[in-house]
Amino acid sequence: MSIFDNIAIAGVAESDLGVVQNMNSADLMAQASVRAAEEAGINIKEVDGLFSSSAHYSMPTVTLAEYLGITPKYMDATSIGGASFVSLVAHAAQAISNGLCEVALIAYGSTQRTDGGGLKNITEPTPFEVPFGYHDPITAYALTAQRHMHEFGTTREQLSEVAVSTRKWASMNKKAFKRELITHEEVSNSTLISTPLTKLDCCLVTDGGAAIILTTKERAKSLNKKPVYIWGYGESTTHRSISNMLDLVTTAAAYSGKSAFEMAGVEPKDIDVAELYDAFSINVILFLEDLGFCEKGEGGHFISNGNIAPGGNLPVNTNGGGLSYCHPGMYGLFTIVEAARQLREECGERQVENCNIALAHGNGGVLSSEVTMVLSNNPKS
Amino acid sequence: MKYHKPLPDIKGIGETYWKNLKKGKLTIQHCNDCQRMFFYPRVACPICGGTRIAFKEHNGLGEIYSYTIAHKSIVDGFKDEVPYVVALVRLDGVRGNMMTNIVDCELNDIEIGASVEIEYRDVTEDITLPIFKLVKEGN
Ligand SMILES: [Zn+2]
Repeated sequence: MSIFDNIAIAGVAESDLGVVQNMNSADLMAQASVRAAEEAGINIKEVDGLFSSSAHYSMPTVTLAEYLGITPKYMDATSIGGASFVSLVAHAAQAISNGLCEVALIAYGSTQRTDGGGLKNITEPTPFEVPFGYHDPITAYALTAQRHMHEFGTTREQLSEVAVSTRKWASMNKKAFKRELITHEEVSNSTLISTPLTKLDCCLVTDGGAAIILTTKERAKSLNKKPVYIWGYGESTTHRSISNMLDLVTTAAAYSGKSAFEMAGVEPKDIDVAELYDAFSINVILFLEDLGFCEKGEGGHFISNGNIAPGGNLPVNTNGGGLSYCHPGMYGLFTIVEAARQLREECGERQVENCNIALAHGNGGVLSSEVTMVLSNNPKS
Repeated sequence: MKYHKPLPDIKGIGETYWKNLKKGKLTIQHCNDCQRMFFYPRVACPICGGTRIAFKEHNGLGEIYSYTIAHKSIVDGFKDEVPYVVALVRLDGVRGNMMTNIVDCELNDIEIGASVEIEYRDVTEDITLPIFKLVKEGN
């Protein structure tokens, strides 16, 4: 028995992505929402549970309810950064399980690219970091990458391999922002931002939104799409500011992953596809270790030789990830959109064969909050 | 004197820390319940939860836990000073890292594990920043 036994994902969608002129963040959030409802075959007005998080709106669920003309029975605007959305899908499932709502909409939208190109950032400066030229968030990720290289001998070449592999997946996704293949040298030799990270180690800055419709298993069975089920879930945090990440090479994914796998009753070897929040190349290496796909320190070796690229043993970020597909400020919800599509076998050229169990992992802040979800196209027996 | 870089908001339990830096003293909180030191200043010890906490003087010695050399930056006052070093320093005997800049050295000499010592840098009437230098061999 799990709290997710009677829940299913009934619809997933993106808004327009990339560079979206003449739309604001609420427009994109709403566009993704109506697309997800339409895909499911549910009238958007049936939504009675609203879930969102935002760097644009102080009360995002209230904003979205007004926009869509909905008066929901239940709302949650969990704020743990980009990890919020995997968390919100779990929170929505709990609300439905407890009878607090029946049709839950989890939505996000951001025009951070056309707003001016910079990362929309509501991070409060901490007095112990702000005087020293701390550049949020890249300084933080650079500090973790440098420490990982020091402790485990992870190489510049291995960081590049993450970006190269992700781009190969993106080349097969028509919606991806960057699709031209790149070489290890192009990644290593792109503009150096903060050692050891170059421009191509960093996620994109795009516009975009995503939405998910979650409802009861019974209801989902009568809708348009093959239901996707949640088997397990976990969340945790180890710090807010990078100075307080006491072990720079171990993230809270070690806790969230353990919880998720235990609840799901599966192990990393059972996962057919992993969608990991890749704000920077180093994320993928850290998360694969912390989630247990390999030993701590072996991440650089694990991703080498095309192991996470098309044709590799573990397909990772099959949509092209935050590095190549889209990254509108907070990417978390897109991990579940792609996981669901892989499980429904809708991914065409990039479809992973025999894909029955997927992992989606959200990251927030500066490797601060981590949320892991295990999903399947079969109900958990 | 105009100072163009970001300044800390010192309001809070950490104000003592900043005021002592102004006097050229590094003070770190010590927990009288678990006998450990920790950074940054808090009303409760993050190690044991104790509240019998007092600031104690620290000699400003530690080592580099990690660092990055910023080659591009959008931070006011820093963007024209690239490359510069942002480091996390682990002070001797203290739980937690202190973010800082490492100054007055060849960038190639900086490495994780290197010993560092504090240098007090007055930047405004109210603020003195804890900056660090590499400890020269033989000292
Ligand atoms: Zn204590």
